[in-house]
Parts: sequence; structure tokens; C-alpha cells
Amino acid sequence: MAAEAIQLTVAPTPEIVHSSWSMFWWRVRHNPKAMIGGAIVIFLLAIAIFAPLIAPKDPTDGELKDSLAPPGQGYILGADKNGRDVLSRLIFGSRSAVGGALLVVLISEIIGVPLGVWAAYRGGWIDETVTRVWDMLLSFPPLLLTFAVVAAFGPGLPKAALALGILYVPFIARVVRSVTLVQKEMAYTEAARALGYGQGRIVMRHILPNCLSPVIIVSTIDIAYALLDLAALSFLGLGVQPPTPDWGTMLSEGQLVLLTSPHLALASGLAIVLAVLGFNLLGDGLRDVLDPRQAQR
Amino acid sequence: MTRLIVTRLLTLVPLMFLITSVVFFMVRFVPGDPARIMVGGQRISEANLVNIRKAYRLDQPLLKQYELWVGDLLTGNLGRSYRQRTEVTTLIVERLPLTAKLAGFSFVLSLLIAVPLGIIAAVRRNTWVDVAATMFAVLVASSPVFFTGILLILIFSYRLGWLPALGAGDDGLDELRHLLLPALTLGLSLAAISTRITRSSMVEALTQDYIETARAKGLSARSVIMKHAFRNALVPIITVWGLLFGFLVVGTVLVEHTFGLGGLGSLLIDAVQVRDYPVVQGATVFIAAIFIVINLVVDILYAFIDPRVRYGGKA
Repeated sequence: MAAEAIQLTVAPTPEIVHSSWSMFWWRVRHNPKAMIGGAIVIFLLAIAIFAPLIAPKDPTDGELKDSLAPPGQGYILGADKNGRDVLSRLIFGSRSAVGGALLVVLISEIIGVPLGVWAAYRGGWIDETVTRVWDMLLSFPPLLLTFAVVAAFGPGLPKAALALGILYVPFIARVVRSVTLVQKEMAYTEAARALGYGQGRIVMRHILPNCLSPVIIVSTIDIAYALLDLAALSFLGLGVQPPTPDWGTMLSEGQLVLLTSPHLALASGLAIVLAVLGFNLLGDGLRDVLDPRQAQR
Repeated sequence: MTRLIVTRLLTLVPLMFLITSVVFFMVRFVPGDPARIMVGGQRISEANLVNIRKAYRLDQPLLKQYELWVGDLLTGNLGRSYRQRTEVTTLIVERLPLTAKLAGFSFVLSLLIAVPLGIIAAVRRNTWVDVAATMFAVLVASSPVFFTGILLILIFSYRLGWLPALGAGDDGLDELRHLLLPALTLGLSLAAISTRITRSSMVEALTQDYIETARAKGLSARSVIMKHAFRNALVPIITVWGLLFGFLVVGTVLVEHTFGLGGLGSLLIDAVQVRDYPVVQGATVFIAAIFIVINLVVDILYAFIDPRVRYGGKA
């Protein structure tokens, strides 16, 4: 019992920690979710960036004689109806999938971060009104309003990403607001104010750095949601338009030939699952690492 | 209780207002002629455009248009489809039963999967059962609902040949057979979310003092788990039903498209694809209204189960 107690106090002590960065890295390395998710995300980003170097064939140019060729000879993952290489289309498709999802979250951050700080700082009826509006939006599925946007403005990735980005604003703004509310009452913020520093400097130097971790966590999980929403739009023919390679569009083309050539649907569907899983795991892992109090539950 | 319902109703009115305003004004702010956008950018003669402007009141001032449109909404008139030359309300009423059956069936299946799985995972915490349940939840939650559907079609329709892959079938047993795969698809996706919630709120409930007391009294494990732990764990589970319903709304749209079911979701997507704006507008407002009513019902249900909410205290 005594030996066990001693062991318990000794065992969790990490190796000597030099900086908050090495502390962060130590925690990440000991979190399987963050490691697996991070590896998947880095893998996907590398594929998206180096797509032209990796892809064995042109993703939009096909040989009609090879239409629906099964995986194997000449085509590692087979060919689609137009005889285009499925693997190359998957590789290039990572660009619209991951890039589109990043765009959605970036738009939501550009609007959401200042909005959250502003609402918390101004308080009163402004805060009340802004939070009321986003609380309402939070309960409403973003994809449904995006359908109306597409019906009005026409299909396409940039329009869909912009609409989703705006509808994702509450997810980020809510977090930034709650962090700001706490930080603006902190002693060091008071001190900065007493020293006569302006609002701008206080926000930039004290408030925003403290928002960084929660914003990173929420954004990572939002990327997973955005991937799913954009894939759904493309699957319905409302997002990325042919012939641009995209996983959602490939899945919908794959469903048409599911009985004879299931490889097309399987390849693109599994790519979406892998990407969403990667960002979900990374987001969950980062929450454990960056916000240990939350993670204990 | 009445006060709770009234205050909830009052907060839901602005949401309805917000959504109707967004769908109404959006099409009017699109660059170009709203009359042309209403007909999906088709080639059309000037005389017809004049008629459309008149029919959709586009010749009136914007605020007047809005006022008239909201007035129509309140009397249940959602306008007229340009493509199908039918009242939007008629189209919705035709399509609604199938979607309601699909949604209800999916919800029941999701409970049948998630509740036992979540309870077992919590009771057998940190065993292989728990790990398997968590992995199931994470994997299914990462799969788009239409891909889950395609996988189920591939397995149960094409490989095993047990169930039909497309269509809604005829009435009765045949319809049930046709709806089983779509409902299972949606049910699995919903279960992925609620399994995690059920598990975590059961874990929380099982660590409470009253569980120790119940065990110390010598009650059977079954009684402790179901009567004492699960009843208390229900509150957070029901809270997410509102959230699940949001998922269910989008889920039915995607699943109907995947399985070729002619419900409300397909009506909406078909209208979006041909840019039949009156239908999109009407269907979106209708779905939003149902969504809001269900959220209200969930809130009231929540208050019934948890007296702390009912009496306005803090949980």
C-alpha cells in the first residue's frame, strides 16, 4: 500500500520541462487521440499541397476505353465512368474537401472572433441581442439555410463555403465571448487598464492570446463538421461542380454504378470518413491537452 | 409550468422571424432580376416576366411584399411552385407523411441502439465493451449519413439481397421493408451521438452517493442501474434530443436523396437543384416551424422530468 502510494506520486512526473511549448508537446505525445488525429491531418494536408507531384495521372482527363476499370492494372483504385483515375481524383479531391472546410472555418473566425470580443466588451443590450441571435442560430442546422442560399445564388464551392462560414460564426463567437468575459475581469487586465493602456492594446496583448487555445479546439472540430456539410452539398450536386474532382461528387457518381463498380463509392466515402475522423480525433485530443479541466469529465 | 411554456414560446418567435426574413430577403438581394431568379434563370419572354412579377408581387415595394408574404404564411399559404404549378402547401402535405414515418422510425431505432449500448458501456467502463461502443460512436459519427446508407445498401441489398435499395414501396408491410434500411442509416448516425451522451451521463450518475446508498440497501444491480442511475441520467440525454432533431432534419433530407424516397427532403433538394425558389422558401419555413415546435416540446418534457427546471432553480 505504502509502496503503491509512493509510486503514484512519482510515476506521473514528466521529464524536466523547459518551456510551455515542450510541455505542450509532451502532453500531445502522450495523448493517442491527438497523435493519431494529428498524423491523419498532416497526411491529408501534405496530399492536398503536393497533389500534382503525387497523383499518378491527370484527374480530369480520362480514357473512355478504360471506363469503370476495376482496381489493379494501370489504375490502383480503378477508373470512373469517364475512365479517369480514381486515385488521382481522390488526391486532387482533398484540395476542395480540406481547403473548403478550412475556408469555412477561417470565415467563421474572421467574423466570430471580433464579434465575440465586441459583445463581451460592450455588454448591455448589445451583448444581449448578439447572444440571443447566435443562440437561436446555434440550434438551427446550418445546412438547411445553406440550401436556400444555393437556391438563390446558384451552386458552387465558394458560395457554399461563404454561407456555411457565416452560419458557423456562433460556434466561435460564443467561445471567444466567454473567455473575454473572464479575462477582462482578471487582475492583469485591470493593471493594464490602470497603467492607462488603450482597449486595443489590452485586447491584443491580454484577451486574444487567452482565446487562442479554445479557438483552436473549436475550429478543429468545426473543420470536421464543415467537411461533412460540404461533402453533403457536393453529394447533392450543390457544392463543387464537375469536372473538378471532389469526394462528395465522386460518391454521388459512385452510387450510380454501385452494383457493378463499388470501388468508386467506397474509395471516396472512406476518404471523407478518414478526414472527418482525423479532425475529430485531433480536436478531442487537443481539448485534453490544452484544456485539462474540461477533459477530466 | 405555464410561465415556462410562455417564455419559451416568446423566445421562439424571434427565431421564426429571423429565418423567415433570411429566406425572404435573400432571393431579393441576389444581383439581377428577382423574377428571373424565381424561375431558376430560365429563358423567358418579357410578357411572362411581367406576369411573374405580378404573381410573386415583385412589382410592389419590398416591405409591402414582406408584409403580404408573412400575412399569407400565417394563414398557411406558402405560395405557388413555379415549376410544378401547384400550391407549395399541397406539395408539402403530400410529401410529409413519408418523411414523418422515416424520422419517427429512425428515432426509435436510434434509441434501441444507443440506450442499451450507452448503459452497458457505462456499467462496464474501461472494458473492451466500453472501448468497442466508443469506437462505434466515433466511426459512425465521422461517416457522412449518405455514405453509411451506401454501405448498408451495398451489404444488405446487393450482397445479401435481404432488403430493397431504393423507393418507398406500397402501403403496409412492404413500406416497412423499404423504410428499414433508410431508417437504420439515420438511426445509426443518431445513435452515434446519443450513445456518447448516454454513456457519459450514466457514468456521472453511477458515481453519485445515492447509488452507493441504493447498493448498500441491498437492491439488485438491475434496480440500481435502471431505477436509480438511468432515471437521473435521462435529463442530459433528453436535453440533446433538441440537438438530435436538428440532425434528424438534415439527415432525412440526405437519406431520402440517397434512397430515392419522395419525402419532404427530396422535395426541398429537387427544388434547390432546379432553383424553384417558392418551394425552397416554403419548405424551409415549414421545416423551421416544425423544428421550433419540437424544440419547445423537448423543453417542456425536460421540465417535466427535472423539477429544478420547472421551478426556475439552478441545476
